[in-house]
Amino acid sequence: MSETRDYELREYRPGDEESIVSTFNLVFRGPETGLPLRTLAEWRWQFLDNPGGWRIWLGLHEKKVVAQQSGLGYRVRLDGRDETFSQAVDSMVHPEHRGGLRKPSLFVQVGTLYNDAYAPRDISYFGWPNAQARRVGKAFLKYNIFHTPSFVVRELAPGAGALPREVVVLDRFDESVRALWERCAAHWGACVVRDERFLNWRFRDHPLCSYDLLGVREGGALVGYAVARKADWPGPGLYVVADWLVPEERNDVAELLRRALEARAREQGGGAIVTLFPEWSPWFDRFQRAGFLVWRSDCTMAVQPHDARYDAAWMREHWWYQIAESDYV
Amino acid sequence: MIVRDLAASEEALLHAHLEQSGASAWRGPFLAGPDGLAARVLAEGEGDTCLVVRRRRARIEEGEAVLGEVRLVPRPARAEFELERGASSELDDAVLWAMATPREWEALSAGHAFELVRTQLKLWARVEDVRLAAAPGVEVELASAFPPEVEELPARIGGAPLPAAWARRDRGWMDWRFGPNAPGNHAIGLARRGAELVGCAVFRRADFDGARGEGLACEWLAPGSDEAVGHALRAFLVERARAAGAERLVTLLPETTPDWFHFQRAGLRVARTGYLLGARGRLRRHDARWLFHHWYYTLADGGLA
Repeated sequence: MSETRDYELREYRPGDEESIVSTFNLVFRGPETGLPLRTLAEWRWQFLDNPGGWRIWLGLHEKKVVAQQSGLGYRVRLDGRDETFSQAVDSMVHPEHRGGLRKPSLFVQVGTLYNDAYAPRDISYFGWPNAQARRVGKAFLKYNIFHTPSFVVRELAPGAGALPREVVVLDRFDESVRALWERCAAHWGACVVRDERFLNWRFRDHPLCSYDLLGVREGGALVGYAVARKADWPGPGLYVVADWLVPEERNDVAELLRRALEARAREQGGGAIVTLFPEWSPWFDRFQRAGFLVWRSDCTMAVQPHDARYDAAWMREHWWYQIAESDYV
Repeated sequence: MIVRDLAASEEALLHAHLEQSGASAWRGPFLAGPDGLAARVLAEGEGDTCLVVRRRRARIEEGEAVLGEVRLVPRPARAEFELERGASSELDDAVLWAMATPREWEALSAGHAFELVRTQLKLWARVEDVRLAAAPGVEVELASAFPPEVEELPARIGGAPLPAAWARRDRGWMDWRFGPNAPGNHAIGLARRGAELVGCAVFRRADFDGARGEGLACEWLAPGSDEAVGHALRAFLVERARAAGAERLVTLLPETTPDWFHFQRAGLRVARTGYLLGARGRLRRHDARWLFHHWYYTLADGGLA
């Protein structure tokens, strides 16, 4: 039975990480899930190394983390300004500290402190809530499910297994990606900053997954890239494009990258290429013209806006997002 | 919560409200449906909007149920609608739903606990880009009325997961919605294999989603496992679109049905619409995600076309 006086409620401090990971594994990685335990290195990468920063509030009992509300920060360009969003992840309460008679619950208390600390800072929270998170988010976090994105999918027929000669495999992103991102972002109301810090953290330095970083250069300058890997999400054995950045006027670059994705997918035995675009983006239609079909997804997207100008309706129409902004792949 | 039947004398006033609020696309009478279910007015809390519910008999998980399509209207002054008048009763509709504009959606979600089922997409193609295919053994006739067996068609649509919820499409309702006395100039196509009714489609040229004179497939009932039926009905739609001078063929279908893919393979592409499909289930299990996966609907279900 939980009582408020037993808990220390505070922001994360160095030294909490082992207890956070231990409770995370108890809550999310039990033997019934079949998932591997999260490691400390993985947690450090996800939160401490994130160039967008961490958002973590904790409930501790006898110096052990028993509740957490946490988020990943994202640097964003919003209406031409530099701002931040954050994505709620890993909300949890240790099973022995759930329920009880005391209201508000430990979960709500930690969530309230989290909001007090970070809502003034982040223009919006966002998330890709699953069924359980949708229920919790709706009840406690004022989540507004604002969009149901669809996949754009191409089942692969036999074909070339070699990359087009104009496409290079990047070892890591360098600072030349910034100019490409600035050029693309000029068309969007909101988007996560895609510079070498974000991209290398998200893909190159990922502790568990290896991604194909495919790029097209002209005179040394990057003029388009796609990041993908073989994954068992949203179905088994798919080749999933996690990030796509090509200027809208460069259909030629897009075609090269699509051919490169197909080649890599065939090489790795992926049965289909899966990607996802905001429906307002020209790429949503252009990929269909290139033979991709629109498939339903089980994804929902939620926001909790903190500035009335950028409400759910605005985000639906103006936010460029990719699978990169999720932890699905 | 106040629930009461809409009075006949209020219908004109209701249309005026909808016109004022930009919801004039919700066409057709509220009271004269063949289901024998009166429209209802629903007011909750102290908000400045209330809901008008147009109700329809439905099948949900093999049982009889009622689906209520709602429209948001300004909460009327007492002199116009006396919300408290008449009997207050429990609203027993299994699911309330709305195809809402973003502005309407904000009020429905914030003030009436509606959840987003989907960002509504549409399938569209220029008529000349629709790829037609042979439909051996299937003939489509242009009809003026529906046969009784039309009611059996939704159960044959198929898919994975199978549709488990749909508004009933019996002969009386279909004739009321699309027959010669219905508003709009609909063309009814009945697909038969021999004497057996195997599918139907209804065409109309009308404005939709901000575009003028679209060639709309207002109704689409075809078994996903029998592609020849779909081929034959698409040929019917293309023929009617050409005859009506429509440049584009447009329809709405849930992404969960086999024909979602069959239409794409026939050359239709997917685009966003200006609508959000929202709902509120009376039972917790009939939440937005369940409806996303299990509810079969077409343009016929709502008042948009």
